[in-house]
Amino acid sequence: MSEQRDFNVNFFKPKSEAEKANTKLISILVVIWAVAVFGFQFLLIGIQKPVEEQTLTDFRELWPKVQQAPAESELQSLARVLLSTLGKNTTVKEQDRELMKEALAVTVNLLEPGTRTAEDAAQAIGLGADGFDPLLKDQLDYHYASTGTMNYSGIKGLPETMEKYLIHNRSILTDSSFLGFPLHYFYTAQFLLILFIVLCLIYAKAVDKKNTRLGIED
Amino acid sequence: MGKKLSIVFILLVMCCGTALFAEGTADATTLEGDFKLVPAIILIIILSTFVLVGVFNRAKGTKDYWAAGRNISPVGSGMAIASNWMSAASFLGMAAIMYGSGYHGLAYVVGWTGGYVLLLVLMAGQIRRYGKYTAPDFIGDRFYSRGLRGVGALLTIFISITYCVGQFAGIGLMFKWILGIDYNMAILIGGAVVLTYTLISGMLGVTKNMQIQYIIIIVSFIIPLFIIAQKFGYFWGLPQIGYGEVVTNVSNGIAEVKGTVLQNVMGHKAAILPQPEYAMPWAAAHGTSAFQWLAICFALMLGTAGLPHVIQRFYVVPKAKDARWSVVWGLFFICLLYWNAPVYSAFAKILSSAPNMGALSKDAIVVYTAQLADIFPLIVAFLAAGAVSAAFSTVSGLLVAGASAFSHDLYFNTLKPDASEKTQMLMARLGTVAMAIIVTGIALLKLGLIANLVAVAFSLAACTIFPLFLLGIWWSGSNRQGAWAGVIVGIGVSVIAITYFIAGSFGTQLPAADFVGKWLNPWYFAWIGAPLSIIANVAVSFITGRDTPLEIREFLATKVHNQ
Repeated sequence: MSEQRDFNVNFFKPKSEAEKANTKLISILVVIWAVAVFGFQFLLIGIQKPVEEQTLTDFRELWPKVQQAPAESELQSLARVLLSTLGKNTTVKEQDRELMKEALAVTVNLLEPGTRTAEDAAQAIGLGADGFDPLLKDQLDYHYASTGTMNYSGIKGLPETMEKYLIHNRSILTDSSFLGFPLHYFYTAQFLLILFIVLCLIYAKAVDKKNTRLGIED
Repeated sequence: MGKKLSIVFILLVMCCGTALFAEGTADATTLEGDFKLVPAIILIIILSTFVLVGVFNRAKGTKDYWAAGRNISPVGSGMAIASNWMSAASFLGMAAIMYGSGYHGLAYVVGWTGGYVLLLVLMAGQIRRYGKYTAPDFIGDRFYSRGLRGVGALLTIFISITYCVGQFAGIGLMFKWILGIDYNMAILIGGAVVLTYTLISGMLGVTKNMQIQYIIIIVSFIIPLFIIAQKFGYFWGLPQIGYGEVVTNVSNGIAEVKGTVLQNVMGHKAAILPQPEYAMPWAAAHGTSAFQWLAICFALMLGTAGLPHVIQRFYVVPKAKDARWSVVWGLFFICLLYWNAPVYSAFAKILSSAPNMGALSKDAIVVYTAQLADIFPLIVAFLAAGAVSAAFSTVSGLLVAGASAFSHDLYFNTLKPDASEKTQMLMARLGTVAMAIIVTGIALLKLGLIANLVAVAFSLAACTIFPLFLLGIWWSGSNRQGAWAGVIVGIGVSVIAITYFIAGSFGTQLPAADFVGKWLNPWYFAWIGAPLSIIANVAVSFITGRDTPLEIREFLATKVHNQ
């Protein structure tokens, strides 16, 4: 008998009933797997919109103003924006951090010329004890270094730098919440792993069942 | 023997830990620098246990050394798969990537688990039915080529070395943390210990050890999270779910944790300014893109199904059914850890948010998080020892895979077919030593984060071994010439990516470096390399007449696919 067979194996051209069943099962599972993993990420990409943090909106409004004749409140707001962005800590690249620190120093100097200490700077900015203010104060303690510079002319590329840190890809999937998670985060970090195990379980059970049915020796 | 020893071991740890608790309180809260007595003792106990188990289960011949006698149950094998798999990259590296790059790091979580679905449905049972000992064995046999077997062996060795580099970096970091010594010295000491252990035990011991190692790894990894979640007012009954609120808190910022004044061990308030880039996808703030996420995930998945030391595990189960179920169990055991890794990174963001914390070593962030949360020092010590176990279990598996490729596939089957079993064993041991020395040398160069370094090995495997197994099993038309073409393309892409990476690491700017850096990045070049290799294999096989010999086709059709 064996001389008459070509013994060709091709996933896309199954011959025996066992092979056909196996190919069908594998195809279904792989499609579910691919759609669940990559389909979802493509969906995220497809529906996302660049959304800026309020701090960036504030910055866009303040930045042109402070370079002309800034009001005290505008300088204070700008200082808060800079401190808040510096608060992203290790996310902020070294050279970007230096740029923001420079801008912060100029801002404080414009608010209160000759300010030396972070304590004085905090007063000039009007940082209180509520909300995020204590955290902004911590940033000030760490990042503030007084300077004699009274204008922003030496600070190049700050708007682009701020955009880099303050615009995020958001959509209904990132803004919805599930079990406390942003929905997309839960899906990727938790649900996909459960799905993988379920897919594997289905496959192992189905193959066992099929082999028993067809009397295939494993 | 393994179970008894593990019970003895756990008792020893508990007794010793309790006795030394008072002393440990002072030293385990130092993030870096000092010698830490309790962690050091726990580490010594754990390593001694591993070596003892290895000695009791010493490999008695080449068959034992390579395939552990094929007497492991699916659950046991699943644990061994998980332990073998959960390396320093899983234990330390994933949290590190997520700590630094937020959602981007989840590509590693998904990539390193999703690949198992492919591995199961496309390969596990079939590989077992094919019935060889090593990956190069399969390649040489299926493509009827001693040359390809040799190339397969060299690739196995190279992949194992690349993979090991990341592990040695993890071992170095933890030895540095525990012993309070210089990183380079820590790598030398850690490398010597893991080498000794692998040489003594061989694979039978390794497999037994892996089951014990799995328990240590998973217990040491999970316990701190319950404590941290409870301490900082989150849902601690199931921190894997409870940390959703932590992620949201990092994203939106928290002035205080639930109105309390909880502090980390440094006295910094557990509060954080808004950092939406942590949770939002492909944030520009981290310099990451959607393409990178997809490419990394894809490359890691294909690599999972192409790693010789992972594939090799299917040879140690008695039947194809066991191979399949060992993957199911293995994936479950792996996911137990992978559900938890992001929890560390989320807590780490809050606990290290004070600006004067400076830039912590990301790869040690898991241990730092436990320290910063000021939890029981013995548990922090156990966590660090768990990290070392994770690296050890993987390194020993890798060294065995690499050494067997050297001795069995390269020396015995390709160069000296008349070598005695004794000579083969000697060559396996020499191969292990040589690999350990090479890995130590490369690890000293500090080329990248652990997860990144390990990702290189995945891309390599995905570009070279994966296509050979995929086509070798599922298409009898893939012939020797096609296999050569695929391997050459896969190796070509890999060489370009790695050359640019190494040149860049040493400050040399090669032409079109930006282009290569983006599209053939060392962490994910397989996204294109693997498909190209498959296309080359198929195309050349067609051109050369798909002339796989009848006996191989017959074997494939009847034995592997039950035609």
